[in-house]
Amino acid sequence: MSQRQPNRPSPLLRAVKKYSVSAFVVCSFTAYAVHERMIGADATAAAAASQAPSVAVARQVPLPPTITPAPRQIAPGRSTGASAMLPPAPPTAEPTAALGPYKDGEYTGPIVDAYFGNVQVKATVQNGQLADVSFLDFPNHRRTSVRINNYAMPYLTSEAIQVQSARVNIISGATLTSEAFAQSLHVALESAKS
Amino acid sequence: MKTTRILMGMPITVEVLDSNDESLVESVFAYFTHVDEVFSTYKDTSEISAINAGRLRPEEASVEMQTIFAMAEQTRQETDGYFNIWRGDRYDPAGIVKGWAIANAADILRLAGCANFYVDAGGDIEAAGHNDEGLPWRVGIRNPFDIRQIVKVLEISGCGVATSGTYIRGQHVYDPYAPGRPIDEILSLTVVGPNVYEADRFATAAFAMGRRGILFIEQLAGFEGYLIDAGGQATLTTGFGRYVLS
Repeated sequence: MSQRQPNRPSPLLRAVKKYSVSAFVVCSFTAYAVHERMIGADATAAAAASQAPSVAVARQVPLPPTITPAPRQIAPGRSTGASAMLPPAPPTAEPTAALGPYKDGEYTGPIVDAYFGNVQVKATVQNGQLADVSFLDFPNHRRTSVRINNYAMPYLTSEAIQVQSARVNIISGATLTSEAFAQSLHVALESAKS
Repeated sequence: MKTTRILMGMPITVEVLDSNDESLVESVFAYFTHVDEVFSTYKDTSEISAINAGRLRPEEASVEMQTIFAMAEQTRQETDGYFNIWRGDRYDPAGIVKGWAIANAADILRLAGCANFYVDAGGDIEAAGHNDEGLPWRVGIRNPFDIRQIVKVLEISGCGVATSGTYIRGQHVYDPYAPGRPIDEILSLTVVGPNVYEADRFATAAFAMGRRGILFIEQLAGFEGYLIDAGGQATLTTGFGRYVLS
């Protein structure tokens, strides 16, 4: 990985850094554990307070991304040529969720129990096709504590998360519980069939 | 033209601004279907299942499978072993296949002459060009405490975005150094990289490192990250701000 080499400090420096980071993490967690024990029940109320939606902050002028795309590491496989070389096989079966035609509208699926909580989806159908899927219910993480630390990682900045109201095109997040998701969606789409 | 399908157990959305060719979008979804048929560990008929069942030796597998194994091995070495598709008794290459498949799907669109599009598979994204307002694509980072909300808005063009997290599928990220240990100190790690393949593999590995993962991303040239911990506190790499709209 030559592109990362310039960032590497000397082995000694790395070792020192590694151990200081480890020590730091261990100490932090000890402090965290003690802290957790002490505040206990306060967490829920504080969590509710900090989850209150905030008004989106004023638009910053973002700098244009300056990264240069790294060459893909394994050229034979992950190259443009590879996808050309391996033409997609025709689907042997249409994915069930894509089977139309559906009536245009919004359809709500049932609440399905997922590992961490409930999942419920709303399917939007446009022109007889599934156009969007959004979530009405979700597995909720109980916030274990609020601002357990005022430390940031060494030299990195840190901030309390804040709910944003800006419109977005796409959402990035961990992959959803597939089974619960599929169940709720399946029922939503059943009701969209004519 | 925006289309969503459920494939590989997750919603996959393709939006293309510079083409109304439905067969092009169909070929993208057909590609994902093909990848699923080869790499799904949930399908007994897949090639990976044949390998895991001992019916096929890895060295006799298809070119695609060899590629994935080679890329997984390379990633394992680059991440001090935190990325590992070997699960002690079987291979689970899902952590590298997804980003690779999205990147290949984006290449299908590029080869067809498209310049303004995105491909989103289960929250991992490759975005090219601009959105329908002529602006960079706006990508929200999902709130791990409430998936109906977003907690950061990014402007993305010509890069990949991947988020690794525990909040919905449970502890699906695997720490090869402590297989039984739940990774509970951090909830979500979003990585922006030169493409979604790169972003996804390093997001997966860095998430398995726990809180130190953000330092790993910090060290990677061309990558930025946003980590959310169990206390609702986020840690940003030094260059992450260049993507932040709000």
